[in-house]
Amino acid sequence: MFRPVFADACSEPNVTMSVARTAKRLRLMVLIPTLILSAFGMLMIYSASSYSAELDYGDSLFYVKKQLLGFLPGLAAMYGIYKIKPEFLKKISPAALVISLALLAAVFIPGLGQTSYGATRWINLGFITFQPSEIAKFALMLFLARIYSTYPPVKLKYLLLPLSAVVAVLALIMLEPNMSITLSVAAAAFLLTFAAGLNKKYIFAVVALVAVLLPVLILSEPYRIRRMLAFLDPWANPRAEGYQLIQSYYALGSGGFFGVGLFNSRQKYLFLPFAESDFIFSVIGEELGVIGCIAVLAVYAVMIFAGIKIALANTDAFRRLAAFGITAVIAVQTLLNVAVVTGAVPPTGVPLPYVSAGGTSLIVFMCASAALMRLGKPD
Amino acid sequence: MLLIAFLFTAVVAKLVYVGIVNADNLRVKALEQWYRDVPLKAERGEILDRNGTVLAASETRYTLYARPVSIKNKQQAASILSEILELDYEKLYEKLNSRSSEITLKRGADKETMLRIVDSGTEGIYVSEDIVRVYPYGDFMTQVLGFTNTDTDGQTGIESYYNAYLKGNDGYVLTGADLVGRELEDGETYYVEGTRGADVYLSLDYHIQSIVENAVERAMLTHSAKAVAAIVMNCNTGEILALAESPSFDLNNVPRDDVQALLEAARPKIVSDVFEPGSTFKIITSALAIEAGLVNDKKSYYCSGSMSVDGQKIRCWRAIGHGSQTFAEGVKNSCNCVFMSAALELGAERFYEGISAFGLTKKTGIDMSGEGSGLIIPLASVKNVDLARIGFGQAVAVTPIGLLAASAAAINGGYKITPSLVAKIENESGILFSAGAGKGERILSESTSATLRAMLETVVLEGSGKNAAVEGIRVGGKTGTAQKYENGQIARGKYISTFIGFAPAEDPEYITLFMVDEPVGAYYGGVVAAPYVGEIYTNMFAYLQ
Repeated sequence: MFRPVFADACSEPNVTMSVARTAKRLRLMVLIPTLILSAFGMLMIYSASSYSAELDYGDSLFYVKKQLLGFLPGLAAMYGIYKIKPEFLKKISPAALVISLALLAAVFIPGLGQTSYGATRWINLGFITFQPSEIAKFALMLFLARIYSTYPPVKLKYLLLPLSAVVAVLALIMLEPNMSITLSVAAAAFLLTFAAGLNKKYIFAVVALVAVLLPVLILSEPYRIRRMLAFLDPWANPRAEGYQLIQSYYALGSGGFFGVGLFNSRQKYLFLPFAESDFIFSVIGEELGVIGCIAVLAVYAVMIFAGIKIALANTDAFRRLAAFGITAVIAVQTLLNVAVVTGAVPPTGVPLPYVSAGGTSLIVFMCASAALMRLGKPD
Repeated sequence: MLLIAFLFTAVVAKLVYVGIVNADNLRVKALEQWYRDVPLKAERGEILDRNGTVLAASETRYTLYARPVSIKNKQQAASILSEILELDYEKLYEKLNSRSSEITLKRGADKETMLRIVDSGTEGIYVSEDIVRVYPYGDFMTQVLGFTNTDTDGQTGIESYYNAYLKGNDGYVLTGADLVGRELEDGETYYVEGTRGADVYLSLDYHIQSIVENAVERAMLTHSAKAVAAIVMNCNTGEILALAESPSFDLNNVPRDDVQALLEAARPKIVSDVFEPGSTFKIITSALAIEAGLVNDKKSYYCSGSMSVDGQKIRCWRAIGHGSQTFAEGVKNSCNCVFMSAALELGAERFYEGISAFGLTKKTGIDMSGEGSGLIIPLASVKNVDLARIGFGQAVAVTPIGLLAASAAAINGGYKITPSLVAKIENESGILFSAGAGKGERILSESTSATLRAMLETVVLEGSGKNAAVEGIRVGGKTGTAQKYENGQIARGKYISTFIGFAPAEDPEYITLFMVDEPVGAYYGGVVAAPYVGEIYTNMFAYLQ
């Protein structure tokens, strides 16, 4: 499907020029949205959290400062990643995956792992807390890209190694537990495998497997069943399971088409839980309206479009697949977050890439942007 | 790529549905949670007597709150507040340092205290207005007026019965607040005005009530009684002019510690409790006997001091008997034998029919909560011996108000009346209720009533009711000395002494019931109760002229 269709055309100099210009434009289509979304994120974090931060920490800028502590190193990291040759990423990807798995396991070491809201997802190093799953999802993508570039998933035996890597990562994230990240990583891994040329009959097999496994995963945890039901009718239990979704609806509903204006959210006065992180899109909807939401989504669309174009422009299989994998993670997570906030899927905690409060998440996604840009730069 | 485009379209579609299509519906629901509504208590209406004398009014008091979060200098605040409010500094300081979002400093503070605190400039202080009930005369008309709870909702008496009129409609202050109700700094505030409660005008008269309360208090002391109650009513309309009961309490200082005792003292026993009326019931038997044509001047009754009914000997109060007498003389002498004969002559059916026509087995319909109704042996199982006893007021139980209302009908020309306490209810927009005071169904002829009046006047002129006589005013009436029962047995030495008197006897306007429960020493109604009725009429007619 994604054959290097214009590999032969590169010999013509004028075509090379136009290719270089196109490539530059694509890189800007990744860079500018990254910067816009990160900066916009900090603005919205301020709006969504200034009240609760003032109450809880006595500093209305608490979350903004934390985010800035992710953003500034993120810029430096972007520069560093951009300078690294993709082949280096390919080389270190097995090591990166092993380290990621180790970190995911380290979450369960008492004293190192941090439990919040009933899940152990964070590693606390004292000066910084981060979620290993943020790193693991990109390490997994790079590792898969590396394997598929040599052994496309056309034969079952070629699938053994990548599949075990995917299962290992998913299992560890699932144990935290973190259903939403598990699902988004699974979806991204599937998209990448599909792009790498997965045999059609396997696609059906995977779809069938998901169809069977998903209900099992949901039914295995009572809180997931409650959330499922809450999603179908949040008003059945407005003070418990239905609460988050109802509050998100209230935010989007009171925003209407044009929104109530920047900083004017009423839902942020503690009504909307996680207003600065998982539900920041609700605040965007309340303050800037549906029109603002669509504008934000358009910015993501530009980046994702550029990511796919970059993937297609690469002749090297690893580069192509790496670009595709990174883009898939961004797209899947964005879609999942917006789907949760708008009640299109059952509520599950997943941050909005670049925008939601969360230092590690921001740095990792900025690095992902940089890697994508590098992959869009012809040697 | 197509897949991603499709998914983007799908979430945007859902976004448009929530944010635009369903927006109005969601916005309305969201508004409800954004505002904290604090009720603005409506001013409660006043209770006044028939001449406009205020008996119950409302005053504004203030409740002071502090929000510890907003107080920076807690030591200073604690010292200022503890001084003005006379609170313990240590305890207050501790409270100000607690994590609670709001603490109540003082309820019921007066305006001056409130202003002193506000003027002290202490931060984080909030004031809410409360309306408290004030009774200018304290322990006065206690059971009639009743009292309210701390939310000024009526709990007993008129306060309770007419609560819906008195309370008015509360207003609201809607204030923008966060999830836990903290006010927002730049939050909007909306006021929704309430309406003041209506004023209730009683048919009672402050001056007559004073006269009656005075008599009741003195009877209480003189006879070391367990309880004393009195009621003055217009016998033609049922309007109650005074109703007093002792023991009672100060309405401004309701003794809430012992709820049981409070409910007992607050209950208007004249309305709620039944008693065996004794001889006062002879008014009813007489009326029915006269109306039935069983009474004439020639007919004579013999009293030997007792009478045998169904082989059972029933005594007259006078052991040596009254000898031969007419019915009128029997009334004057309060001879039990005469009334036993009359009851037996009437027969169970006619007698019961009459008692029921007088409304004695039902409630009178007075505008007061907890009215009781009379009790009588069922017609099917009543024996002659019971009937004979009912004739002179035993083996039957009635409420004092029921007995008074029936007696009023007997002497007012034969018209039933409904006792009532409230004359009218009025608010800014006009009169909401006006008592249609007046005569009801006619149950006796004018001649029966006139005959009875004459007989009852002789009771006061020559008989057992002499002590109720008033210089210059013709008074009629009937004494009663009822035995009390405890656990189904006659309680030795325990009596309820009563007198029902009306005046002027030639054209009655007022009827009065006076009851002394368990007097120590003398216990005949003519000695213990009748003098107070005479005294009440003396003072009342002096006031009315």
